[in-house]
Amino acid sequence: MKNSFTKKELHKIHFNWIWQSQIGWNYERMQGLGYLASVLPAIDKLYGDNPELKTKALRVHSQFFNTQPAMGDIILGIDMAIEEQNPNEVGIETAAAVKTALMGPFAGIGDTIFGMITGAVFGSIAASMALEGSAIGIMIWELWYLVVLFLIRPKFFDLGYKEGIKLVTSMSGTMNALTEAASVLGLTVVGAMIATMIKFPLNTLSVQISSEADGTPIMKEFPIQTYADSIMPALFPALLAALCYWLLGKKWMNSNKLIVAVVVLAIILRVVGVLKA
Amino acid sequence: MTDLNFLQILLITAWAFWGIIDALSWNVGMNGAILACLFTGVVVGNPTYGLVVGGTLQMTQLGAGTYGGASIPNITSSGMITTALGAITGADPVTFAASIGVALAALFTQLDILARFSNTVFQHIADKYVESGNTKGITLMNHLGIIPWGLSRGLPVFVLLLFGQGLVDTLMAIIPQWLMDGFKLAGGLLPVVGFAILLRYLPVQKKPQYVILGFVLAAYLGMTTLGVALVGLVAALIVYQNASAPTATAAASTTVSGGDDYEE
Repeated sequence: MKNSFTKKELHKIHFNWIWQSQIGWNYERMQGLGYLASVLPAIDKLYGDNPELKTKALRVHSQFFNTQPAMGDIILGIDMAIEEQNPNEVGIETAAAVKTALMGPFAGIGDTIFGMITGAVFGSIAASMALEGSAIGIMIWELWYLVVLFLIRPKFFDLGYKEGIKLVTSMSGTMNALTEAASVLGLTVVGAMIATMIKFPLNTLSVQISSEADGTPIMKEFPIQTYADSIMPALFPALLAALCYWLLGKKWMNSNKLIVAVVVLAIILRVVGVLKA
Repeated sequence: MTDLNFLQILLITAWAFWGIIDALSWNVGMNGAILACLFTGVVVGNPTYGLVVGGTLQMTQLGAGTYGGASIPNITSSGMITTALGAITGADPVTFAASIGVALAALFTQLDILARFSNTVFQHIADKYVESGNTKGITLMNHLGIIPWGLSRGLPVFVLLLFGQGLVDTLMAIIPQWLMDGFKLAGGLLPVVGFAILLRYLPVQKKPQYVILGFVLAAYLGMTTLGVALVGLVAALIVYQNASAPTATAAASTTVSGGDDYEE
């Protein structure tokens, strides 16, 4: 094929995407500008001698685009395969359709795996160790970042490029299964972290139940933490998580307001003596 | 301890500026709150202080991210400021992070929005270059986005480190002990916000059993997070195999029902 990409050119385009996908991120086109800037070498090579096609390609690739960047590697690979094999109007339009079709579901999987689950697991390990003054946890997380950049992302791009449009049909079946599986892992981890990461230390309340003849108060101790634990361990963290989840579903609530609410709650519970300092 | 010198302020500002650019591109973790705070701690001569501030703030956002371009509290910039100013004034790191750190992080959300908005200007110029076929111009416009992005992190860090020291001293002197204690407790409660956000993204109402599974393993059996994650992986693999089994036999068929159980 006269228009096939060299390894070097493909590497350059993928490098472009890693570096440029989001530095120009904006509300109007999101990663659209980054995507366009990334594929410019391909546009020059495939349509450089045909001004009409070139303009069309530039227009089409500046459309709205947004996905999880590592998953975007696969989409970019597929796009390059499509346009390389069909350097014409049909190829450009197919590529545009594939981009639009894949960005949403891919963002869902990518955000769950690369954002939520790894962020929650590595984040909780790193944060707990950091609170004890140890940097080992954050170094483990660092290692993961490097694995993603140097091992996973090149593999993803190659996968998309080698399989091309076939991948869309072969993956559409596994797509839902992958998303479902990833969310199951996420749910399990979050369930565990609700139990271990939320610190709700209940106080032992001293209540005066009566007084001696000489007026000395008779106090009774109520270790409410022990009571709560006898019902269920991490009872209050679970209740608080349920409450916050419910609140976030309200239209008038957002994460910033929720943070303020939780801080205010902590101060109030401390002042009335329910929480132990 | 002495005041911050200009070189220290410059180093911390540079990390903050480049940290967000790194997060948007290579993502080697520079914009992570813990690493950024650790770096700040090293620069001001108290790495442990940075780790504790970073850990406290990271706990408020476990697994949270800017999914779909949403702005979230910027615990990285606020953590770097908190670390630098806290370490030299000697405030308790957990209390300081849960009060000033959390407040600044929420405030800085606005700067994130401003940066994402400012870049539409470059988008519009790039649109003109698309029509004229000026590919160099398109690349330039995309790169100009670095300026609003970087400034949205670097500028607040620079300004507050330069002028914030007196402010912190005053704040620490006027905030009463009971309020300090409350903030410290808030540091332990705040992870709940991150989890609630995560649960909003995940299909918790369709599959509550896995949240319960994870909770029971940790709360009743005392399993570590990594252990629970492995059990979760087992559950995920079973779900994956069950879900892909019927379609595998009919691999040629392209008709696959579109699932809608993922909440964007």
